[in-house]
This record gives sequence, C-alpha cells and structure tokens, in this order.
Amino acid sequence: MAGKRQAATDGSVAVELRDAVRGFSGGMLFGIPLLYTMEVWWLGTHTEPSQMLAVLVATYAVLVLLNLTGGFRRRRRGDLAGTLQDSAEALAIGLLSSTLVLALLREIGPHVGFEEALGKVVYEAMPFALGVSLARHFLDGDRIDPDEEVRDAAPVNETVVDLGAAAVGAVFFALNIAPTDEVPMIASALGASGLLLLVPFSLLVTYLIVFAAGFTDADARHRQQGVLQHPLTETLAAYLVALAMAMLLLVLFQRVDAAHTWAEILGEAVVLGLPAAVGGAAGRLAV
Amino acid sequence: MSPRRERTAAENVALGVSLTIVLAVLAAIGVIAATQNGKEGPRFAVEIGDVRGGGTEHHVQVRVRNVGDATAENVQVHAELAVAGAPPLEGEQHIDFLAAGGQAEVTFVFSEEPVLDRLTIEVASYRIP
Repeated sequence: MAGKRQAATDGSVAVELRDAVRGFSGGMLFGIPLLYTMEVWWLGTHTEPSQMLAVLVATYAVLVLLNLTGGFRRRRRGDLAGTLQDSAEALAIGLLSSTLVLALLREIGPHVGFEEALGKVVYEAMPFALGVSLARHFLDGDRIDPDEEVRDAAPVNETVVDLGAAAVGAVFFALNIAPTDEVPMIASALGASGLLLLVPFSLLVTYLIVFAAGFTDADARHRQQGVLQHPLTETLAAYLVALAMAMLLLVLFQRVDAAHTWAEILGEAVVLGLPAAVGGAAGRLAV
Repeated sequence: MSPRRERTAAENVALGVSLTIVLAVLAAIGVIAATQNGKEGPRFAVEIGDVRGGGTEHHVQVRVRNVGDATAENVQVHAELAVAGAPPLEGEQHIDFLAAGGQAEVTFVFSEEPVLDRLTIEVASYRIP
C-alpha cells in the first residue's frame, strides 16, 4: 500500500517536472527573440512600479485566456480554478526563465540597480510566460509516424532530415537577430567566462526542448536509428549546425569579416548560437 | 458532470512555489513604489579608476554611478586635462541609459600623462527618459 502511494507520488513528481520543463522550453521558444532586443532592456531602466504591475496583470489576464483553451498542462476544459493556478505557474516560470537568461547574458547582475533589474525581468517575462502557455498549442503531439517504414529503412536520411530541419529552424530564428547590434553588444559584455556558460546552457535548452519536454513522443525519438540519432550526439550535432548557421548569417549580414579577430567572431557566433539552437530544436520538432 | 480531479501533492508544491515567486515580485514592486519618495531625480558620482598605458596613449577608466532615484538618458560625461602652456585636452563620452542605482564604466584616452589634480571629469548633461 505504502509502495503504491510512493509510486503515485513519484509519478506525480515526474509529471510535474515534465510540465515545468515543457513550460520552460515553450518559454525559451517564444521568449528568446525579445530577449535580444535592447529597446526592451532600456524599457526596464525607466519603468514605474505601476507600469510593472500593469504588465504583470495584463500578462496574467492573457495567460488565463490562453490556458482556458490550451496551456502547458493536459487539463480538462472548464476547470476554472485549475486554469487560474496554471496561469500563476506559467507566470512564475516566465519570471524565473527571464531572470535566468538575463543573468546569463549579464543584462542583470550586481552592476545593475534593483529597480532596473526588476523592470527588465518583468518585461522579458511577458513573452516567456506566453510561450509557456502557447507551447502545447503549437508543438504538442507526436509528429513521428510509427508506420513510416522509410524512416526505419533509411537511418542516414533520418539524420540528414533532422540536421536539415535544425539548419532551417536555426536560420528562421536567428535571421531577425543576426543583423542587429545586440549580438556584438552581448558578446563583448559577456567575455570568455560568460560565453563558456552560454554554450552548455544552449545545449541543455535544446536537449530539454527536443527530448525532455514531451512535445513529441520522446520514446520514439530515443528509438530512432542513425549515426547521430543518440539524444546527446544529436543535440551536439544540431548545436554545431546552429553555430555554423549563426556564423553564416553573421558573414552574410556583414557583421563579421576578416578585420575581426577569431575570438570576436566565435563570441558573436556563440551569442547568436542560442536563438539559432532554440530554432534548430523547434525545426527538429516540426519534422 | 464529471467529478473534480484532486490535485496531487506535487501539483500543490509547484503551485506554492509559483505563488511564492509571483508574490515576491509583487512585494518587490511594492517596496520600490513605497521607497520612491518625491523623485529627487538622477544624481551622479564619478570615480576615477585605473590609469594604464604610456607614451602618447594614456587610458583613464572612469566609473559613473547614478546615486539618485530616477533613470537618466543620454548621460554626457566630459573630461578635461589641463596642460601647461597649451590648450586643455578634452574628451566626451555618452551613456545611453543609467538607471537609479546603476553604474557604467567609460574610458578616456589622453596623449599626455593624466596628472590627477589637473584632470576634471564630470557629468555635463542628461535627459529624463
């Protein structure tokens, strides 16, 4: 009896963790573009407390509307109390996610005043929180057809399809960010230590989105055969593809050239690599 | 009507943590609102930091802190180094935004050695955003 209860508790904790990971992953998918927008950082520097409160209230209201029809949890429709609770959780995940990523990009920290940091977190939390609730709307469901024999028969092609999708998704996400001044600004502010943190963070986020968030049938993805189909190698390979796409976009938009040092070029590629990798993960979910 | 599903312990913990986070942010906003007394506006503290280089290129690091209670936009920092028998050497820097409690570092480069008692660095102007 006690064993059964323990198993149920373990199960509900696992479900809760998966929901939180899915929410965080959705937040990253939708929140990243606004994170690389300096006007939003500036907005945070001169936001009155009443405006912060208004942003939080408006975000919560939109989250309730979204969660009434979708949300990041599988919940029976018409459960108003559950919807209100899920919306509070989505807002909290949004606030935590934006705090984490802003700190990682050194947009908040000891060098920034408390009011400014809070303003940035509140504004950036908005797209993250909406992403938490929107994610399941757009990304849920198993997109891998178990009857599709071609996929089993041609493992190398499956790898090519995944990496191709990662490349397309990376370009799609990073295209709007590559020509902006934010990329060199962040890269120069981060320094070597910040860039070193950004690489494992990018890898972790993409792994969570594709393999842990439950947007697609994770078991089926784990079963895929191919030279790069192990979750860790696929994550690594897709990240390298995203980095290559980021580098390519930086060259195409003339953000880097022969006059830049290799350290500058690598730094900007790693900074643009985060949205590119998140886009690559979204692309792999879509195929 | 189908029976209402009971929340699991894990769901309750997640909700409790979430409410704590949201309430902490609301409390922080409340504290900021309560401590904003009268808006004296931006005020600046300028500190001269390391001086490095030599020859005809001396780099002077300057830290500008906004010790007031409002954000300043387009903060103009002016530096002037008096040189015996010659016009003073001047430099200017702009800081896009400097929030209350925030700080920024700028660097001035002079061709003469910057003797500190002949060096004047001050905030010349700013805008309220």
